[in-house]
Amino acid sequence: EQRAGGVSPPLRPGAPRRAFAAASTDDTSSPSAWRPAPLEPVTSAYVHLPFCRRRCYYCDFAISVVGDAVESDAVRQGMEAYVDRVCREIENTPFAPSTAAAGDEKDYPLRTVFFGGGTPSLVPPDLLRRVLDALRSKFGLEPDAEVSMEMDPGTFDDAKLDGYLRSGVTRVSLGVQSFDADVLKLAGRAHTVSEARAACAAVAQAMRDAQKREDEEHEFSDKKKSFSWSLDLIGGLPGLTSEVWRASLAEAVFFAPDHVSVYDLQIEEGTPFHKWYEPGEGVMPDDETGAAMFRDASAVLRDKGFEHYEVSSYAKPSKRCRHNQVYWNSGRQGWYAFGMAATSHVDAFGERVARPRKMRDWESWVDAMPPFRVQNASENVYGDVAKETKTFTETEIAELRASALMERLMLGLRTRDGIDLDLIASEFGPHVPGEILEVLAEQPAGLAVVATRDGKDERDAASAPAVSYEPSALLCDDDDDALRGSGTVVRLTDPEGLMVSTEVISTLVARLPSLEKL
Amino acid sequence: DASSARGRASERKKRTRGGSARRRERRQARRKTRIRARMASAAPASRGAARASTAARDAPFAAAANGPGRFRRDGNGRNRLVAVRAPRRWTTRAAATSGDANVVIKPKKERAKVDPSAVLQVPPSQIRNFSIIAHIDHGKSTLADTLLSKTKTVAARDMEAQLLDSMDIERERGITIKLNSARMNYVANDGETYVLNLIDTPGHVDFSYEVSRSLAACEGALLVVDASQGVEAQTVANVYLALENDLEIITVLNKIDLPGAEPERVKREIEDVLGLDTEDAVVASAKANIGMEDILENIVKMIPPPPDTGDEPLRALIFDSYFDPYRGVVVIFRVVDGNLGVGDAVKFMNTGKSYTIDEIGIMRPQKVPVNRLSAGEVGYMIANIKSVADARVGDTITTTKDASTEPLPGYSEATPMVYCGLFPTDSDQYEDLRVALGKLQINDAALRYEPEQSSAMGFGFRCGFLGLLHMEIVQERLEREYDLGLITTAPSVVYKVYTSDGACVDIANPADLPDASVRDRIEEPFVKLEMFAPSDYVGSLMELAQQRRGEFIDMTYLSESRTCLKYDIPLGEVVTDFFDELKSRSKGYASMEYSFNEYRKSDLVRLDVLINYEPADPLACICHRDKSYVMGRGLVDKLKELIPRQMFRIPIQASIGTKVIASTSISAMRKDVLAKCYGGDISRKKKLLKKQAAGKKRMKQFGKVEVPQEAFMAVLKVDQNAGSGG
Repeated sequence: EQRAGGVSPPLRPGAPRRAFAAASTDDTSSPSAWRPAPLEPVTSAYVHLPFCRRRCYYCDFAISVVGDAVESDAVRQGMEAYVDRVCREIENTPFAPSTAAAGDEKDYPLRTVFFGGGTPSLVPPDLLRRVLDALRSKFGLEPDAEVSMEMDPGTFDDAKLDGYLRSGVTRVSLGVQSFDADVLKLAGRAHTVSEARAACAAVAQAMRDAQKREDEEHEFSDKKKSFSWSLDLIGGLPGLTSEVWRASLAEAVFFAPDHVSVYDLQIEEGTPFHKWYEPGEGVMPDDETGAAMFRDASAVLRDKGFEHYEVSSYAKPSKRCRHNQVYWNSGRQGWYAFGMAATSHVDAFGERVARPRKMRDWESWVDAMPPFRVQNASENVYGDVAKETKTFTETEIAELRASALMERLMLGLRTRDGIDLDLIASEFGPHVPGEILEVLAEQPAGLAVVATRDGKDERDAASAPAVSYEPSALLCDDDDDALRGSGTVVRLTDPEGLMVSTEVISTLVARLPSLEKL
Repeated sequence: DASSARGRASERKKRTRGGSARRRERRQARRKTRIRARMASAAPASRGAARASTAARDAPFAAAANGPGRFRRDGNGRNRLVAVRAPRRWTTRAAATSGDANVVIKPKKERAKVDPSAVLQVPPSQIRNFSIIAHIDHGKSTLADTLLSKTKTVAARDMEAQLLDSMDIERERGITIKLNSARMNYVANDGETYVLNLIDTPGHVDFSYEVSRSLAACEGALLVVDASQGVEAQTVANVYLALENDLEIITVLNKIDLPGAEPERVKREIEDVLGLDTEDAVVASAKANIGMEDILENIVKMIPPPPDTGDEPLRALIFDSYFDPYRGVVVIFRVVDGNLGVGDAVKFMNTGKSYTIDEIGIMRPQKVPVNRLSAGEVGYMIANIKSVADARVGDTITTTKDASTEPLPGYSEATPMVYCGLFPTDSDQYEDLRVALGKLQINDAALRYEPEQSSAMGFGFRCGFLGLLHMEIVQERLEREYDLGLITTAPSVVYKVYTSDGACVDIANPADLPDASVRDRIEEPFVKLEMFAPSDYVGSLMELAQQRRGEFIDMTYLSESRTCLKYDIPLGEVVTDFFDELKSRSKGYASMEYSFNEYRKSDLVRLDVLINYEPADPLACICHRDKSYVMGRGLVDKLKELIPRQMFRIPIQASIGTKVIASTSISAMRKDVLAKCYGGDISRKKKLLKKQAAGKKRMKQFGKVEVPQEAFMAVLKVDQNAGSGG
């Protein structure tokens, strides 16, 4: 497995500082002994607020269209009923096995909460507060927790925004999508360019004010809230040209957000776009233009001091979205999820539990939940605990293991942090890093790099055989026993590697001997 | 309409009854002269020769047929029934469906006496052996099924559509690949019980040798023609084969119940094109059960009984054999002379192999064991034979003692006409593929295979087939029955390459073609092609044949609106998309048939394909020099379409020797990234990645380039229409 004939010394040799004793690593060569590494106690929650004024032409999310009469009593009542049911779902949800196993649940209050949608900013602040209160009373909420919510321009004023912040929201993800009127119109967005500009200015100001207030009120606290906001754009929309795109990027930077998300239009089946457009035809930007937009975004934003820390995410230093990083670190961290169509991940076997996508189905799903009983803790554990102790057949184990490895690769390679080969070796076997490097070495140059974690030594993964892998120090944080690799990581380059990440990852999935059982 | 047809038929029956013998003689004489004239014009030398030999062979046969009928007697001089003991699982069915009244079922565990009453024994004069020949879809299998139920050989409740087509593929495609036969008892209008042996024929040109051997086992044939479609290419080819075997032909106009039926027009066509008398043609519908009585009566009346040669040394013609995993090879044969029974030591005259018969019996169509079978009868035998290659169709069975000196004529080895490479998609399946091919070959003597290896494709096999259908069937069976993922390279014919030192090598793989510098000449196989089509499409079909280097021979009008075109054309041009083109140009109305003619010198070159500057052997093809530019251009363009973009630019070139004659390139992939907002739900993304990865796994790598399966058939999909008009 190891690449023979390595001319240069391995990137960072070293003996493990301390042997670690994760169940998974006792004997990685025997598949039947394999078990997924345990999750950390779950401290994240996603809440789906599905209401939208209308459906955008590209959208295939599970949403609930309420029309323009957002302020009407009927709509308010509908939202109230939904929110109350979400609260009931929160109340009746058992704790994750990893949390339960770690002892007192109250020791692990939530660190991140994310309100996604839909258009969460259609939900009045007092209702949002109800959900946060329910979360707080069930799981606890760190005082400095990151509480994100998606907001759309044109759905809020200063007072409403202030209401959210006072309810506990610390981070706003503003769905601007574009600063071009035609593009917004073609996409079927409900807001205008002037609304987008006003919203950006308002959010930026509100966040500055909130931070100032926080700094004053909790001057000496070490659990001070950090307020930030993200400006979200979509690339590849119909009507976009390179000029329009660059203008939108420039305007986005002008508002000085802490974070920018640049999503890429995916035309999903069943959407109007799917019926209307073919890539490269008419107003649809072609492949070449799409690639140029990705490059432009990367260049412009990095130039302004943003770190491209995930395929579609850019952040100023220390302003990464903590909640989203939980998703990408899903081999270690799980999350609760509440509301229609929301997907949770609380067990170490990687199983995602998706709630029903239709409102009525989800309602019956919640109504059918057994009530949470404080007395009998053993019944209150989420998911199938028996799984943790169950004996699997060799085939099942091989499949679980391949599936876990695939997830690790596909999520890890989307991030700036990349995949940690030492961790991969410890969890999936010492031969796996070699396999990965071998496949990457066959790819064209300039797409992937092998680097030390501190970034001092960095080489093109295609420059085999100069790159070899040897396990480096595997460390155990004395605090929480979590594994931390010290050495070699593999990541895709920005923008060239990230731009073809799907291709690179699918090549790995196709060729990695360890993924054959997938 | 149906009742009037029946009325007409019975009226005709009355007419025929008086002096039918005389009429028959007249009819035969008329038929023969017409056909001779026709065949002389159609297929001069080779057909004439073939005909002469068959006539000579069948002479004693025919003479015997006219002699007095003799009963087969047992030791006491009585006509007797052969004792039969049926194994338990089929006795019930045999009992329930047998036409005889006194059936006794005696299930016993050990091998025992055969139940004497299970199979009716009759003298040769009451036996009729016949086949059904037809163009595809003209209703052959349905007719066979209806006859089986009409004679109560198979009870209606046991009827499964297309009973004689036993393979899944056969039923799905509506074609017969493996032969079957069935013995029926029929009480004719004259009060006698006749034994009718129906010998099914495979319905495709790829298997014409097997068809001819089946026909050689008969004295007559039912020619089934669709009463609305009329004479088609296969009809003609099959009639030729039947005439070569000197069979009495009973014409059946089938599907008469359909609104488009035009029996009179079709009769005229049959008379004009085939030279057959249609005075006694039966108007029928197997589906609606019209005219079945007439057909059965005509079989009894018109088809001559087999000659009674039961006392001569044994000669039995093998017309089919198949492998049964529990019993070994089951040999299906027609006893021509003499008789044979359980325990006899027999020898196959062409392969020279000897066996002792373990079991012998007849088909109904399930196997029913008997003790002996005698001249004129059709049956099966099981003799611990390991492979169908040891019991080849066309071989003669004789006894070891008192052996016949002269084998039956017409035996020939199977010669594969089309070759292609079969490679497992997953290289781990190479061993499975080898085993599967071995198993298929046990049951398919015409299948050839030998290991082939290429840097891009890995390990696989070069396989030889009788034709395109045979190739498709084998591929499909490998994929379906053995669950193998296969990549198939474009089919190639066998070229005879003469090197400058005078040696001749057979080349079935374009990659093996010797270098131009050592080649003297290349010969390629030519076939005689017949296309039948409505006259409206003649122009378009002529254009097609000319594009494919066909040389026009002849055009005849079957009727005002239907035409037969004959071409001399290289087989290599036919085993491409020719049939698809024919069908699309004629809106599905045209049919075609071809037969091997000869090897002839052609100005051929090898067209190499280079992907990313590396030669891709499995994509190389041999084509005519005049067409090489069109092919080269078409091939690189097609490959550009079929090979997905990759992360770097891929030049694709076609070359002859070192000279590049066409080139194009696939530009590098610009972007492939999933940057969508998603709330932690990765299941869809995971699915997408898995799908993309699965696609990659099926691809083969040429250097760094991943080439999908479809690309290996690209040469078949090249649009040749754009190119030279011949």
